Amino acid sequence: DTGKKSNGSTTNHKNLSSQEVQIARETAELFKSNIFKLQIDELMKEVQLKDTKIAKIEKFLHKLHDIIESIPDLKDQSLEEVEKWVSTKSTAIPFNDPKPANVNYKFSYMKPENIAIVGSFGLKTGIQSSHGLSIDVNLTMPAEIFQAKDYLNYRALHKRAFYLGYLADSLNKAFKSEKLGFLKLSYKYLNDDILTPVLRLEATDINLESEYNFHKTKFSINILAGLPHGIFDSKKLLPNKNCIRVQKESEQLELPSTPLYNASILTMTSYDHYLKFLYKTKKSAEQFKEACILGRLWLSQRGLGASIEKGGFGHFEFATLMAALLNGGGLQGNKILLHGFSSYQLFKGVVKYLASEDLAQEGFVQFYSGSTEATRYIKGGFNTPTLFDKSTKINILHKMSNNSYKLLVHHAKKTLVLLNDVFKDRFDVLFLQNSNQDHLKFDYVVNFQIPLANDEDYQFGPFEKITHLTFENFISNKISFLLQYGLGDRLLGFDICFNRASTFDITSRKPKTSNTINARIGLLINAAESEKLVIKGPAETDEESLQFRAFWGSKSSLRRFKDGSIVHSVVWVSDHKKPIVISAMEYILKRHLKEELEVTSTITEFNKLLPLPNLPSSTQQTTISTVATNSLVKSYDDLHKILIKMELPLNVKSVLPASAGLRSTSLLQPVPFSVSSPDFFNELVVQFESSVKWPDEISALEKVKTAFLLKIHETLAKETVYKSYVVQDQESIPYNFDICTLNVLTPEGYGFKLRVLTERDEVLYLRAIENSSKEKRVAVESIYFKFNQKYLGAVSHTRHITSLSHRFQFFSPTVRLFKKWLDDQLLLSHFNDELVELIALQPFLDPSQYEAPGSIQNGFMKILSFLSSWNWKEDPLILDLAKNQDEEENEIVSKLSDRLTLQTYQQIKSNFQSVRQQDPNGLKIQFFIASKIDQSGKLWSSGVQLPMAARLTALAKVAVQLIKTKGLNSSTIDLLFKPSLSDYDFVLTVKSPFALGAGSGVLTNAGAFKNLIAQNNSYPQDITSRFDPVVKLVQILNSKYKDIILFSSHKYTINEKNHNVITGLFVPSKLAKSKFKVQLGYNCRPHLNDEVILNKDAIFNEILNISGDLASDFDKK
Amino acid sequence: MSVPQEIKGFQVVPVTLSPSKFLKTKEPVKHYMYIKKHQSNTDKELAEKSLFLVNPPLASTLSSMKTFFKSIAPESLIENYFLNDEDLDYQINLTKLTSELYDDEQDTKTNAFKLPNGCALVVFVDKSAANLAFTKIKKYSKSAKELIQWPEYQESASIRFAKMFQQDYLSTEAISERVSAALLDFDRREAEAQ
Repeated sequence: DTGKKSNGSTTNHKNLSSQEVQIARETAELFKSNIFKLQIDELMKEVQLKDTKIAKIEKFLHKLHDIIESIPDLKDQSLEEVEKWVSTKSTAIPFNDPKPANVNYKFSYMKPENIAIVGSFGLKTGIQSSHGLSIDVNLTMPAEIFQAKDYLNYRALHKRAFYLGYLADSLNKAFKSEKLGFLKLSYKYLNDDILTPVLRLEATDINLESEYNFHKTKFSINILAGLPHGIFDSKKLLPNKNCIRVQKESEQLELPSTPLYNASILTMTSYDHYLKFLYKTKKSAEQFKEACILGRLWLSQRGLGASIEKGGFGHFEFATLMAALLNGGGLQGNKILLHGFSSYQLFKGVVKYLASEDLAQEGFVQFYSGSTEATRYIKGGFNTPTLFDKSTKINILHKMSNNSYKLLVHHAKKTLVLLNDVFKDRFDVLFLQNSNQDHLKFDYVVNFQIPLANDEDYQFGPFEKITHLTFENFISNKISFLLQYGLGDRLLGFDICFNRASTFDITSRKPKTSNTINARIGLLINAAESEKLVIKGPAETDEESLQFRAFWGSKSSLRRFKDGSIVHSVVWVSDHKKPIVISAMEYILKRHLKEELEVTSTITEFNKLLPLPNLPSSTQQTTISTVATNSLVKSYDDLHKILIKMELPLNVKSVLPASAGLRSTSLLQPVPFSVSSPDFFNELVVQFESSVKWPDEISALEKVKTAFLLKIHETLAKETVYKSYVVQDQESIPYNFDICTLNVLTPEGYGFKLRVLTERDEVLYLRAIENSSKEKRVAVESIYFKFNQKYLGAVSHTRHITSLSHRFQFFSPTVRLFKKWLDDQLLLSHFNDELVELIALQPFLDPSQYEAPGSIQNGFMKILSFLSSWNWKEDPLILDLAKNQDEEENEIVSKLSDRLTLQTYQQIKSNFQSVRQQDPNGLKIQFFIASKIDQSGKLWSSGVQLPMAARLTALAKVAVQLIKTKGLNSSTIDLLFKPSLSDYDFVLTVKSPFALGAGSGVLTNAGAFKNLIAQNNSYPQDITSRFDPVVKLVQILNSKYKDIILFSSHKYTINEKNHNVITGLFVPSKLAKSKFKVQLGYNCRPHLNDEVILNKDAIFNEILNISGDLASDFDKK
Repeated sequence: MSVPQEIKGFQVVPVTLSPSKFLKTKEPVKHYMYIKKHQSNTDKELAEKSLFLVNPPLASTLSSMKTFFKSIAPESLIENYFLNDEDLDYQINLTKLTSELYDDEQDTKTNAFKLPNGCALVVFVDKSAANLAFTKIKKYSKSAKELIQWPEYQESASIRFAKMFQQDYLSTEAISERVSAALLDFDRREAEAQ
């Protein structure tokens, strides 16, 4: 019987495999995966414009059409007549500079040849968006208005400006008479192009009841005035031609080309043309439309767009490139994209093309929008991003600069890696997550104001004016050159924007000008190069030496290097507050733009937050300096040598580092003799050669270990200048009361704590779990966890973090800052260092759509952003400690490397599922963080109390929200690091009787008296006398009130007042009255009958009495 | 609202805590102990000369207990004071869980002293001293107009904590002795087991 059944199901399965499996496989190929396809389908439904909204706006568009049709002509007006006309109106004509004067051509308004909806609304690739969608309506001006030569010297543009001005005035009049008073008209420079003013039409919330009021649809309308297609000889408007004639100083001078001007004019003639071109493509490739929508989302989530400020590559450019690639794109015109491709394949194809083909330096793309001739990639670029349409002679990428192109390619590369990721679902970061936040996108953001008092200051002469059109374009170009030349390899990319005013009232000819422009530069750092001190330039005899010296001025000097070369070079001085990139940039901008520029960046505020080690010249160290750690590691090496050589009953086999200090992640950097620092003693795990003689019982085993430590102590005392102490350790492993460590003080001033690991330990702890009763198993398991953390986990964690902090230069300082934040927010004492470091690794190991952080500001903000959005309940955090981002997938390499395999990844995921099955709400294990070295995912997070875990997420959310609404500036940064003490039930302020900051090796009051602060150079007589007494106080409070109060305090006391706070939160369930029981276990007072209730006042009183002379204030709710 | 003098057979015994200037209360803060005669089947002799205390003040030591009882029943001499404020689970014993050599007899003996967390045993010199003290306690909690103030810590907090740090740093001689004794003991048990 069973045989039959199974037979039946096999047949079923076969039926499935013949058809459906085939479909499933095809989808997987077409869409990366079936899930990906479903996600795209879902997304398309979600972003689709709502029919009701479309109906609403279409109703208005019809009305608008009728109104425009009824506007009377006004023909052949001379400039004087135009000026007279203007003087009687409140509407201005948006003439470009220079305003027309003494011209003999005529201005006219005549009914448009054609009125058409163009752009994405016309193509039906428009999508829902929170900031609304603009609908482009193109009015093609009649050909009669123009003459063949009008492409020269702004003539066509001035005629167009009049057309627009007259149109604006007439529309305003009509709106009044038609009772459409809710409409608001303004001028707008389309895509920040000052040559292309258009009319912007919005609906306000006045007269909402009007059937035409489309305010709620969030649409706005751009009325474009287009020139007739083919009206000018397009060859004359090629990018290399000059079309603005200006006076030359001498006859020999050649007029520069005017590519921006030429492209603007040609673009005005081809709005309808490109709509047709894209529409045709849409008809021929079924999924073209969806792919356009994907592209649009992808661009907008990254803050990229068609306007110059957004980089000049938007939906139109994306769609046009895709259309061109459907028609070729290879060297021989071979097709890059096929018409049958899925939306995913089309999107990926475009992204891959952008990521892999250079369209600026090495080559460009040439295509035909007006014929079926093949698109080709042509070698040899124009040093400007180029997607050249042979049919219209327009470079579609003319609004892009080399640096905006570089950033686009960067995004494409990142996206390609994400698209190829087989481990994680990347749909969210690809299309749904907004990654357009400066402090996440860039490592540094620099702001400054450029005064505009005198154009000559910047050599913005007539030639520059006609090539660049605006001062912003010109200066952006200039800054690009300066940064490229001066910072070179230190940068991966940068973005310059000016907050240009692009919309202005129709009563003005142009936007109000101010005497300064605000510049913002976002820098993407090459972390390996950014802090290098020396720039090596050309040799004296080299042709380039003149330029080098002119560029760097007095900073440049001839130097001889170790390899014998004598070259011009620039040497920077590092500084703890200002990164070299910023100093260099400041120097360059001041030297080449204006001496008075004030360059500001929030990075200095962040750098100031990091405690400085009290070491010689520590103010002249960069944040990524490893000087302090190196000395500690050296001291460890020396001790290691001594121990290995030591003659003992069993030889020392290994002495492995297991401390934050040794892996360079301690909040306070190691400083000699700083015995007050909580990180002073660095744990070392000592192992002896193997032996069968270790006792088979835990307490006897610990005693033998102590005997070995005593032996080491004796030998150290006899043979070296090292001091050592046997110290009992009742904290590390609960219920193991026999552990001793050997605390060693090295002559250089560093402390080490030796603990012994034997091959029996783990066996015994595991045996304890096995022998424990069912009820006690969890408790005994947690003892094993502690053992695993201290003796095994910490060692391998230290090894991995050490290598990662070499790989990621900014990891160590970022962790320090993150720990500082946690400690300032009273959370650090609730998490172990390792857990904190693993969380901080997230943006480094999985930067996803970004780069790995290249500054502490960026790293820190990304950690906060990650924490604020991560759902620990539903998602396991899986870290690949060995993966190299962007590394080309190479099977052999990945098999040999330490990378996470798909199998391990799946295993970890299933571990997570079983953890969540037992604990669906994450009450016991909130953070699941796994890696190859801890697949359980809970080694470092078991024991974290839920309220503290939840508080971490809540605080990160608040922080992210604060930055979102108030921006990143010195006052918000201050707020981020200020604990909100009002959240606690009570706050006890305590004061240490001696200076803990100085005792911890922190350079207090940096800068002010740095010469006066003596460094510690010896140990105190009794080293315990310099330990922070608050540590013991908190320990006692925790043990006495473990189940009723959650205490928090700062782990580090480094402020000048020596103040710390101990805050308390009552466990809510303990606040209710309860029946009196002997086992109640907390301080209670009688209530009614046999009920008792928590005796809060007595508890407060007791806490204050225990704190005694340490207490300096107390507040309760 | 009057405070009950007895809860579930326990005498409710209020004391005041030594006031702190940071706690802005008008009157001294009261702390309540709950006391009754000790009962035990395993060690009757000890039980009848002891009082069982629930919720002793935090600063309670043999000496502070003596001071307290001196003012209530000066005639009753205290011999010893056991307090469990460690909040440990007696059922978790790593040695027992990892070794068959563990001495179970030893275990039952010490179990007699395994008080619940937050409880204490005041051992008097004899039964009558204990009885007398309990009678006086009853009288005190019934009629005391003036509550006894619990003795303060004798040392300042900074000194107390500094000493705790010092205690963690073991003297080499002492620890050497302890280690050798423990190992001898282990050898003996191992030998016996064989």
